Amino acid sequence: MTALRCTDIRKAYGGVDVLQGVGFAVSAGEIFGLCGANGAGKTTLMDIIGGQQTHDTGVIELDGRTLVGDVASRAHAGLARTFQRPQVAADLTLRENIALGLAGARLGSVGQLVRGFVAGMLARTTVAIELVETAATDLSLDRLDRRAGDVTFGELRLVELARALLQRPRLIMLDEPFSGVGDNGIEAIVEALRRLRARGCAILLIDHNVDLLTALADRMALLAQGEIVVTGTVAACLADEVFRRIYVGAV
Amino acid sequence: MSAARERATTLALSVGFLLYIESSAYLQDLGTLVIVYALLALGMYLPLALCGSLSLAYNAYAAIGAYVVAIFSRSAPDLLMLAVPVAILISMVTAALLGFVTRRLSGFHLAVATMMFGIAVHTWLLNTDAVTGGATGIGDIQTPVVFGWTPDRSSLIGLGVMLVWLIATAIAGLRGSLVGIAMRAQRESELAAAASGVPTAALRILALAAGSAIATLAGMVLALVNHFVLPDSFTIKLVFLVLFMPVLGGLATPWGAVLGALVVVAFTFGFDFFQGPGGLTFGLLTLGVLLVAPAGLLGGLAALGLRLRRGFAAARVPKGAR
Ligand SMILES: Nc1ncnc2c1ncn2[C@@H]1O[C@H](COP(=O)(O)OP(=O)(O)OP(=O)(O)O)[C@@H](O)[C@H]1O
Ligand SMILES: [Mg+2]
Repeated sequence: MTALRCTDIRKAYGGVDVLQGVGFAVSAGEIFGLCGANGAGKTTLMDIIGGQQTHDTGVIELDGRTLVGDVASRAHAGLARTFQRPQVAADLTLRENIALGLAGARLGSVGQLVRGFVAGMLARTTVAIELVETAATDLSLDRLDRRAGDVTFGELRLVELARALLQRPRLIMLDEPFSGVGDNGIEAIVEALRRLRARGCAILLIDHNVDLLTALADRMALLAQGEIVVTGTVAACLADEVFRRIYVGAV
Repeated sequence: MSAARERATTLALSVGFLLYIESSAYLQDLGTLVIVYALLALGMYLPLALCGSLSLAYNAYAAIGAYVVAIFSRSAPDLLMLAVPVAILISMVTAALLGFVTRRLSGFHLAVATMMFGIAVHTWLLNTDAVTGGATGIGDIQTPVVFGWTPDRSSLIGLGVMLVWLIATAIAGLRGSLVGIAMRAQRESELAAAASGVPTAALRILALAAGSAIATLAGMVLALVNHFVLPDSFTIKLVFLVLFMPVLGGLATPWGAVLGALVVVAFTFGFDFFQGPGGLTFGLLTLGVLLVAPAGLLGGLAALGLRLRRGFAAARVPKGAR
């Protein structure tokens, strides 16, 4: 079943074409790897799907429904993501940053917002601690009382992923989730992604590490100059002349 | 401090405060000021400390509370209790509207829009004699009958102190709840909060509306305890005085706002020494505190406590073990 479908996405920044008609689809329970040189437009594509960026033309569908609206409403439609430059609240603890995923998932409508507000004022609702702790432990994170501003980049990537997992997404998009992460962390992320895939979540994965990407992905695409130049199963891509020349050869 | 211990400690301190001001009418006057300022400071604290939204219309919200009570007392004394929900509703709708129209603009726009509104309300109070009594305000405000009981002045002040405790405790609870986490997270990373599904603009508007409701209660306490309202109690100067309080006390907990209110009243009204150049002295005092303890009085106290405990712990380690 197709989870995400992008059709003819075009985007120009001030007259410079960044995406020139990109189309691809990711099925539920599939890891789709996206690679390409610096500046190829990978992050821009993710921002457009997530709603952080507007696009000029093209259609994005999630589970057969056109994905429109602001970032938060797309999250409630089943989308979660991490960022190339980790985005966390620096003054909050790791635990609170991870719990943000739960908060977001439970604060969809104005009614939920008001109810959550009143509940918070009436009693110290213990934030579903076990869920947060489990999500963190699964990703090899510990000492959750530390300020997010005080930990390494690699740990912030794990925090972002744990936060995204708590949203229970239908589609998760990860922008270079392995860069700066230690070996334990990488192993934990790989395990987490395999569990997600088994659960039927669609995964869109950007990374420069071709070995990791090809080991993990089911299908992949190579983006160059704003276009998908090669796409198919990992085996097909690895056998492709263009892919070998542009990507594998370059690493 | 654990939540339960914080609640018990602050409740004990509140009762102690109440017993202390019982002793004289003058102290009761000062106590009323502390209650009014504390409620205003708490109203400001909620959107400011949790969401990072600075609204400056608190004189207007307090005025709405005070004048709606006064007008009900004059025109429909039997329905005086109804003034409470009516005033809160007016304030919340106003605050939500001001938040809504500035939701996509910067915090600076919110500050300017709310300040203009506050100034406009004061001017309106002065010039609309038929409704507000103009410069002389409205007097002879009656005491509401609560289920057949007519509280006297001391009881009203007692209710006010309990209101401060309830609201500060509620905001402390909110801070740690999922909504509180979402509020504080969107203040620091709108990107992260929105991507997680937090409706950030709606959350900020909700906080502004809740803060305005708390400030409205401050105006009601003032009107009910004093039995009169004057427009000049609600100038923009009130807002800037109150703005100091959460910052002075410390933003990490709503009790900082309450402590700030207490300190301001004690220093500007309580001590003769500060009577003359009170404003200036107070301004310098706040500056001094913030230079020594950027996290405010409570924040500084907590840091000092931590350092002392660490010091004791270090002292207990035998010399050879180091
Ligand atoms: N907000 C923006 N305004 C103008 N140009 C932009 C903006 N964001 C990205 N670009 C440009 O669009 C192009 C694609 O950028 P993008 O970040 O999507 O690339 P990428 O494939 O993610 O690269 P990298 O591997 O370095 O992360 C680049 O040339 C970049 O300079
Ligand atoms: Mg990128």
